[in-house]
Amino acid sequence: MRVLRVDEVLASLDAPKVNAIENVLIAPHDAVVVCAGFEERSLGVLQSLHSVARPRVILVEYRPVLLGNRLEECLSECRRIDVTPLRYVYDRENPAGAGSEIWSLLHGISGRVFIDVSGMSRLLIVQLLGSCMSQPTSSKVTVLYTEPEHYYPIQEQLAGAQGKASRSRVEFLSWGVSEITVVPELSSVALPEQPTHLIAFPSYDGQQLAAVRKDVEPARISLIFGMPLPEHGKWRLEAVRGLNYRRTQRNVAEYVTSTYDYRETLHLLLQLYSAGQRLEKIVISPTGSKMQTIAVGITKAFLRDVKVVYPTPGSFATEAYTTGIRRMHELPLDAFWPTSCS
Amino acid sequence: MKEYLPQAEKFLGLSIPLFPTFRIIEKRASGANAHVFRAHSADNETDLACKVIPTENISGDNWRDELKKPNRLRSPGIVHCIEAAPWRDDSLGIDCFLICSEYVPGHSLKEYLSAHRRGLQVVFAERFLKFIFPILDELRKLRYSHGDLHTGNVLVEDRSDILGSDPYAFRLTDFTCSQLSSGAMTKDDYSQLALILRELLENIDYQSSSARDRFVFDQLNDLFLGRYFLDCDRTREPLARNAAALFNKLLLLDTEWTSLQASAREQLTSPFDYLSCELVRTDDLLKSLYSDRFLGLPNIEEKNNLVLTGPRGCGKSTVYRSLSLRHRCLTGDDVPDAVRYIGIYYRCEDLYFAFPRYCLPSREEGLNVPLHFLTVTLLALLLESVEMWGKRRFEEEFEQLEAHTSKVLWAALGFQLPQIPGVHSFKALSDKLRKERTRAAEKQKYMRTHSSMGEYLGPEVLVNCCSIISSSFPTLQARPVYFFIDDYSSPKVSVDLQRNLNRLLMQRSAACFFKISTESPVSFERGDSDGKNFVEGREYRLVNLFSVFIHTAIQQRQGFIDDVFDRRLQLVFDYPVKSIQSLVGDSAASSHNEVARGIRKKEYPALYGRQVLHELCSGDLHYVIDLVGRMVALNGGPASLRHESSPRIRPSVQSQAIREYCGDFLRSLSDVPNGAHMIEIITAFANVAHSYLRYKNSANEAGNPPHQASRIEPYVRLDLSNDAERIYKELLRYSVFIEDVRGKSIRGHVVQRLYLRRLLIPHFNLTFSNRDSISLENSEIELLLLAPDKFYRRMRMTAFNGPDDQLPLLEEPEA
Repeated sequence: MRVLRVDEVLASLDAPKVNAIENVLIAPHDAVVVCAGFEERSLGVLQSLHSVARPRVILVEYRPVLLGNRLEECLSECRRIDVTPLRYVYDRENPAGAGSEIWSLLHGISGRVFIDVSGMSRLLIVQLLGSCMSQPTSSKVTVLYTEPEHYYPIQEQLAGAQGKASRSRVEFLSWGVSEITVVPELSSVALPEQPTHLIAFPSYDGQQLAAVRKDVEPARISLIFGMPLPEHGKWRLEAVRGLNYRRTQRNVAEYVTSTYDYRETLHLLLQLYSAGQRLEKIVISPTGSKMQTIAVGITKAFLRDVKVVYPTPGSFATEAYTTGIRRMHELPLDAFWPTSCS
Repeated sequence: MKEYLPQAEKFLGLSIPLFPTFRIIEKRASGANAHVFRAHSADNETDLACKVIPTENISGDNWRDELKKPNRLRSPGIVHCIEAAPWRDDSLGIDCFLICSEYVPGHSLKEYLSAHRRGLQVVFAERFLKFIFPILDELRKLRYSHGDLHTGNVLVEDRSDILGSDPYAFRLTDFTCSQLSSGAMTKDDYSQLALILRELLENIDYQSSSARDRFVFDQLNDLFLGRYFLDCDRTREPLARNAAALFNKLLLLDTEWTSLQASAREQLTSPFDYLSCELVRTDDLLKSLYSDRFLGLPNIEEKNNLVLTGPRGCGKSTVYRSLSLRHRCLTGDDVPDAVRYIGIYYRCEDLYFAFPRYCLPSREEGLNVPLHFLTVTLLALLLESVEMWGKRRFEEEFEQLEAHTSKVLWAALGFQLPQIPGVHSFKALSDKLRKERTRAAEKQKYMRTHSSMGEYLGPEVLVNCCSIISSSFPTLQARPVYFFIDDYSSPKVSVDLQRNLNRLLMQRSAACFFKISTESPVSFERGDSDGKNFVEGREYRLVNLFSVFIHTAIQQRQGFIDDVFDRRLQLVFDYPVKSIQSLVGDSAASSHNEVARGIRKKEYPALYGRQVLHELCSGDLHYVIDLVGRMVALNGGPASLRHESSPRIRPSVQSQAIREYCGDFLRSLSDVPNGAHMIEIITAFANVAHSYLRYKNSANEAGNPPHQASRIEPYVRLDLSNDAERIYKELLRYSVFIEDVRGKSIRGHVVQRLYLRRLLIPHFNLTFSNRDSISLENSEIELLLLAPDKFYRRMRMTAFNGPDDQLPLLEEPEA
């Protein structure tokens, strides 16, 4: 009889699982959003397309340009399948509104929208999914994800760095925080008087978490560590834990969710929201894995009172981030939309 | 049955049999069994509600008795039946039953809900229940039931044309009509009420609701809807279908919410917990930690606009929160004699999330959007605080004057009056104001693409509303409103946003004062978007807590620091030490000169005792508390303090902790953007200061003591390049250097002196003496900020009293 809140409805949904796929089945009336990132896997989806498909392609290019961005290779793949992509410039230093601007380029698509997150910034993933709810095509969205062959850092890198980790900064995938980014569309003015509960995903750069903590000044923190798939090494969990260790950690709770199965993260986020929604405002910093970030995007799409802040990295190790292309995965989001409740 | 229902149109224009001067002029509603019309009498200039039921839809003979039932009810809001009779006209094909009642202008709840989809406030559901429970209770006493409770039979009456009354009110009509019209079993009132409540809750936007409203929503949803309305067994659930008890329960929700906030179990498990105000959730704990010996408190409580600055961790937020009326109510410290002003606490993190990276708009009509946001937010907080205090301390006065004050406020705000019962109340006003917050924030998001802007409040409205509130309640008349605006600091609150909002916050009025706290003097913008520059001393008074701290008499400073520590030590049950004196002891008195001479001989002082803690503090007391926590940990934890010798923490441990802590502070600085560069600047300056101590004597001092500087004194007023100024502001923002504007340079210019944060002094083997400065030209400060290594090479003293380009770059301190 009682009315279900949105978080309760989401929690009760049978969330779809991520499936490994050989090929992406894309038709001419579909659209693909691809990012020209610096990782090899940015090309995975485009390379798998055949010239008969000819979908609408939205090609996101980053500003400022990083050495190693694969724009030319993406354009070359588009030429191979005889598609002229619609190009969208994503300014990492001024990213506000990017989600809805990309959705506007998808206007008129009658088929399915495929969002390839493989080379996509975490902030953009949340921006795109977070603004998904208000789109007419929201019921036909599939997330595509290409797994790399190798993730960095490798264990030897980490062991070598451990000696100096206690005294100076260790630089792996990315380092430094150029700023804590808050974009209006991922913000909220709910519960101004309540204390802040920060939910953060520690990464290989401890500076990210530290900078967010300093900026947000939370009353309590939930840290969600990522447990990688066994083939990518469980040691990574402890490594990240070590890099983010602080001597004095008060009001901090730690959780572990899969870096691959986003459902674990989604359910945890909903639990944390449900437990504290009256007495605290929730701020999420999505610096976890791509699939954990998808869970943040889905959460933000429905829970408008959640705020998202993002420590924009200062620099990237473009040569040693990920290498190779392993498998593709798909996640149709149809089951989530429309979800209506109080 | 719908099939027997005649066409409504054929009744339009007909005179009604019971009251022939009344003519049916409008169909108001149709259900499955009946039509409802409005009939008007031109002669009497009045209306009647006419319900027309086909004879086939009537069962039983006792209809007249049934009609008498509602007329016996005395609860407010009952629509009484005036007359009823059969209506048969073969020529028109009418064979119906007619019930005439008072005509209620307005809408049915059903119509209201369809017009306000997802736009209801929680207070609407609360008011509906407050209306319906007394009726259900009276019905129970008379052994009646309504029998057909649904949203079509609940009316939202419009009485906005009646002077002095609540403009909207709930009414209940159509009692027992189900028996009369359908022959079906009477519907259970509580099951029907559950359906209505469910529909109301479904139309509330939970995510836009305040914390209090979320609590009430959950109570209504989980308990009222989920249990009390549906459970029939009173032995199992005493509140089940018990209207009187439910009414009381409803009235107590606010009290429950207040106790829920206060009862969140939060206590110190260590004296070194809760170092930042943001970590403290409950007001009781905050009260326990707050010291009323806070330095600078008299400045804060003056009737002036204020810009308060001070290093991070100096307690700005703690004192602001503690002075708010809400906090005082929640901690019982709100006896009217002790409340000299109405303190409203607002944290600007809210602005940061609503207007990230704000720039002044190109469209002038968008200028007031942030101002509107802040005005409605502060006003909502003010109304909620006054209501809380009023209900606690001057209830009769508050209840008498609330409706009138609300009415005047609605007019002053110029908002369209929402059609909700109880609209002339602080709660309804504050709900509307909170909705306006969301409207402004949403407008800001889409300002570039939205063609129409809408109306937004200007800078004069808040001050005007404060005057209205103050003048309306005798208790408030001598008490101005103090808005404690916390963390109004760029870059989080951008320069443009400050310029816009300063149009409000720099206003001078007797009704309200704005007390802005900001991280550093450079994080506050001293002008507004109208081009007006604000002058310290005229529009506002600037209080730098660091300056207050270092210029306060030593005994007073020590008294404050000791009080903060002693409170914390005494708050932890069974903590082995109850005073800071027992914990760290007192150090032997060595003069700064003696210490400096020792450093020259590489004899470094033992750093221990209360006096050293006092010296280490730049006002940033929370860091000093954390440092003592580190000492306890290094000493072996609380268990190691259970001995009788004094001090409980060994001096060598204290010394070690202090030196390590300074190093950790520097390392943590590397976490922030540009942190590494800031560390280079500190190191360059401090090493230069150390070289002065070693190789230069202080001028004009008897005994030629070593030069002891830990501050920069510009020769003339600072004039820096943009790049250098940006770095300079960052140093101040993170309180690496702390500005004191009371300085006068040796050339007689009024300049800002830059003090090295005192926590860092031991790390670089300097002394705590405040006697000397390192005087620098603008070009040298520019060099320090942009190229610290070059500064170090150029400025460092050597045994030969001159710079040496061959010295190693930024060497580590020697200890």
